Amino acid sequence: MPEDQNQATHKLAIYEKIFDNVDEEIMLLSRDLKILWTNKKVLTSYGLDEASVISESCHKVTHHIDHICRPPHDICPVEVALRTGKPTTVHHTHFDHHGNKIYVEVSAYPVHDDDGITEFIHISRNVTERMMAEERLREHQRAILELSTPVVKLWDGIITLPLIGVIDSNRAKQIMENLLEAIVRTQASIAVIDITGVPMVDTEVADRLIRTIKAAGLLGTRCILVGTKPDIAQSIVNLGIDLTGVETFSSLQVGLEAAFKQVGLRVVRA
Amino acid sequence: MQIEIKTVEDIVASRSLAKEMAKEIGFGIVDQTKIATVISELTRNIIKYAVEGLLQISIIESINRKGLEIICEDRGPGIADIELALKPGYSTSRGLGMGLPGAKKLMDELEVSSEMGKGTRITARKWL
Amino acid sequence: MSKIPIMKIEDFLLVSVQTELHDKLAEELQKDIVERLAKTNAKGVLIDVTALDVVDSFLGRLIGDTAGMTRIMGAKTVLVGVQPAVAITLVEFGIELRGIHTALNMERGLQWLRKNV
Repeated sequence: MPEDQNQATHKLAIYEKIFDNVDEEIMLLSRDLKILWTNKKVLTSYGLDEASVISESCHKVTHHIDHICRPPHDICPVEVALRTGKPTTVHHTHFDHHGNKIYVEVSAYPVHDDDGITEFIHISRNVTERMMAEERLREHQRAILELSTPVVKLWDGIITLPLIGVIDSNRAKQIMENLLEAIVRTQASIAVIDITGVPMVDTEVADRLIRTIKAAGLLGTRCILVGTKPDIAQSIVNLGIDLTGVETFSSLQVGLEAAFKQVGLRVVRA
Repeated sequence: MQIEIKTVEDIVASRSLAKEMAKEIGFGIVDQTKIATVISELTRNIIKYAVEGLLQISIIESINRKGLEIICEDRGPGIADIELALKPGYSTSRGLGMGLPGAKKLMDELEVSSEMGKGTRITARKWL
Repeated sequence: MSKIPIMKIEDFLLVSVQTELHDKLAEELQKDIVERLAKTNAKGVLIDVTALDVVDSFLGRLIGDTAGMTRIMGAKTVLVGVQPAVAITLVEFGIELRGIHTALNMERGLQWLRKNV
C-alpha cells in the first residue's frame, strides 16, 4: 500500500537524518559485542568505512584491543549492562592523535525481547569540556575550603586556628590537614583552636575537634581550646572524652595568656 | 592487579602498589595512607591467620566517580563470629585483634564473608 | 630483613624504625631495647618513625608495648617523627598510644627527655 510505504520511507528518512547528524557515536552491538550497525559519526571518528566496521568487535574498533575493556583502563559498560539488565554509563579516557586526553562518556542500553537481552545500543559522547569545567569547579571549592580554614602563626612555636561557621565532615578533614601541615611548616608546639565563631557544637562536631586535637598531639603539639560555651562542655562529657592535657577556656585572651606561659613568655605593658 | 601474600615483603610491596594506584586515580596523601594502612592490616592478617592468600587491587567505577577496590582472600581457618570481629573494641589477642573495625572506619565500604575451615574473603572500597 | 639498630644518644637510646617489622623481628627488637636499657641504664627511649609512611595496628601495638616495658624499667619513651597523614590515619583508625610522649622531631624529643628525666 503506497500510503504505508510513504510513511515508512518518511520515517526512515527522519531516522537517518537524526542518526547521521548528531555528535554522538551510536552503535548497535550483538550480545558478544560485535558491531551490527553504526551511525555516520562512528565512521568519521575512526576514519573507517562501513564494511570494515560491521561484524568487528566493538573494543577492536574503539580501543584497538582484542579483549573486552577492563580496569585499570576503561570498563566495558555492555558487560555491566548485561549483568544488571539496566542502562549503564561509564567514563573512558581516550587519547587523540596529538596525545591529548579526551574524556568520553559511554552508555550501553540493553535491548530486551522475548528471549531476554539480545542486543545493546552503545552511545559515546565527548565530555572533555564538561569534565574540565567540573574539575575547575572542584578546584575552586577546594580553594574556598582552604581559605576558610586558615592557620595563623601567632608567635614562634604558637599557631592559632580561628574557626568560623559550620564544621561538617568535609571541613573537618580540611581543618585537620591544614593544622597538621601548619604544625610541620612552622614547627609549632602549641595550637590555639578558637571555636568562638562556631555556632553549634554537637557531639559530632566535638568528636571531629577531638580527633583534630589528638592528631596534633601525635605530632607533639599541645592544643588549647578557646571559645568554649556550655554546649561543648555538654557534648564532650556526653562523648565520655578524656581531655587531660588539653586546656580549655571560654575567652581567647585567657587562652592566649596560657599559650604564652607554656612557651615561657609573658605579656608586659611597655 | 593481583599479589600473592606470603611474606612480610609482600605486605610492604602491596602497600606501595596500593599507594601508587590510589595516587594515580587522584586520591590525596591522607587517603593514600588510609588505603595503604588497610592493606597492611588485611595482608598481615592473612599471614598471621592463614599463612598465605591473595590480594587483588582494582580501580572501580560507578556513575561519575572512580574508586579503589581491595579484595583479600585466603583459605585459612575462617572467622567464627564476623559481627563480633567488626565490633569496635573486639580483639582475639591483646590489642586490636584483626583491625577490622578500624579498617571499616578508614574505607567507605567493607564486606566480610567467611566460612569456618574454608577461608575468608574481605572486600573494601574507597571512592574519590 | 635486617635488624633495626639501637643507638645511644646522651643518656638515651634511639631506635630509628625504617623497615617493616613482623613477628620475630618485632619480638627481637623489643628484647634488644629492654636489654640495652638494663645494660646502659638509659633513662629514655626515642622511637623515630620519620621514615614510615604507614603505621598499622601491629606497629601501633608494638610501640605501645615497648613503652610499657620501658616504663617498668624506669625509663620514659618518646615517639618522634609521625608524618601528618599517618597521624590522621591513626586517629581515624582509633589507635590510641597511651603512656608515650610525642614530639615533632628528634631535637624536640631530646629536649623533652633532658627536662623530664
